[in-house]
Amino acid sequence: MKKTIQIFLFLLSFSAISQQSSKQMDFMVLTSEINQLQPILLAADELASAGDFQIVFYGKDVAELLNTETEKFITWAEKSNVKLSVCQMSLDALQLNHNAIPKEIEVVDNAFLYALQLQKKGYKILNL
Amino acid sequence: MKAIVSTLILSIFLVLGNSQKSYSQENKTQNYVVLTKKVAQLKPILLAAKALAEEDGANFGEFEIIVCGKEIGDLTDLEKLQPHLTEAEKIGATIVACGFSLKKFNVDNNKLSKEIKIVDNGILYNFQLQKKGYLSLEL
Repeated sequence: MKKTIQIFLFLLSFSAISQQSSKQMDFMVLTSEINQLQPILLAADELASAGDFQIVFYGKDVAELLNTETEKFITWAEKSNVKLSVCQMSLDALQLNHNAIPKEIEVVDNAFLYALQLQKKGYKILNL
Repeated sequence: MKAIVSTLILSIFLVLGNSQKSYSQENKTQNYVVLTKKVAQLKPILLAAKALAEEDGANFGEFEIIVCGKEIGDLTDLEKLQPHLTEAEKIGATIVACGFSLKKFNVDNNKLSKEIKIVDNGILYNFQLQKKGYLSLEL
């Protein structure tokens, strides 16, 4: 009986500790400048952890995502497990077709909404 | 034996307390503040506010949109602003103008719609709200 209680206590404390240490960090960067992709990806690699890292593009420069120079960054992001997204409202404002956007980049309805939703989930947000 | 039982009871209380804490956090009111320098961004911001109001339901608290910077004069264009003010009222969002910017860019406070709240310093106001636990986005 005594042993059972001891084991129970041990397991209980273990679960409490694991609850604390499993708190992973998630990050999200909101940016309107595509040329900031490189330093952001460098930061992502540096932070590389079990958590999520997302980059969301918005604003009038999103058309630059179609440039061939952006391709290498898309490959880099994929390798580093960084999720790339672009704001649908920005695409619409610029009359850019979704199909023109590389498949690796997800389209989100509203970048501002998305940022606040992720923040609600506990993400660390940086807007550049 | 007695010691073990009391420790057991104590740990059960601790675990219960812990789970209760996370439960109450999930249910608390969610407030938001967005700081922008472009009046044109009011539209996507208000759309975000609307979606969050639906998502949060009864937990949706305040949604404040602070406008600052050199384009603050655009707030005096009542014709352009009216649809946004109506939408904000419907959602329960507040549009706030930075008094510091108004003064710096010579905008007459009286030219602003009465629905717009004026604060002395938009940046300070943003930090004060963040201190209160508001989720913040600066554009």
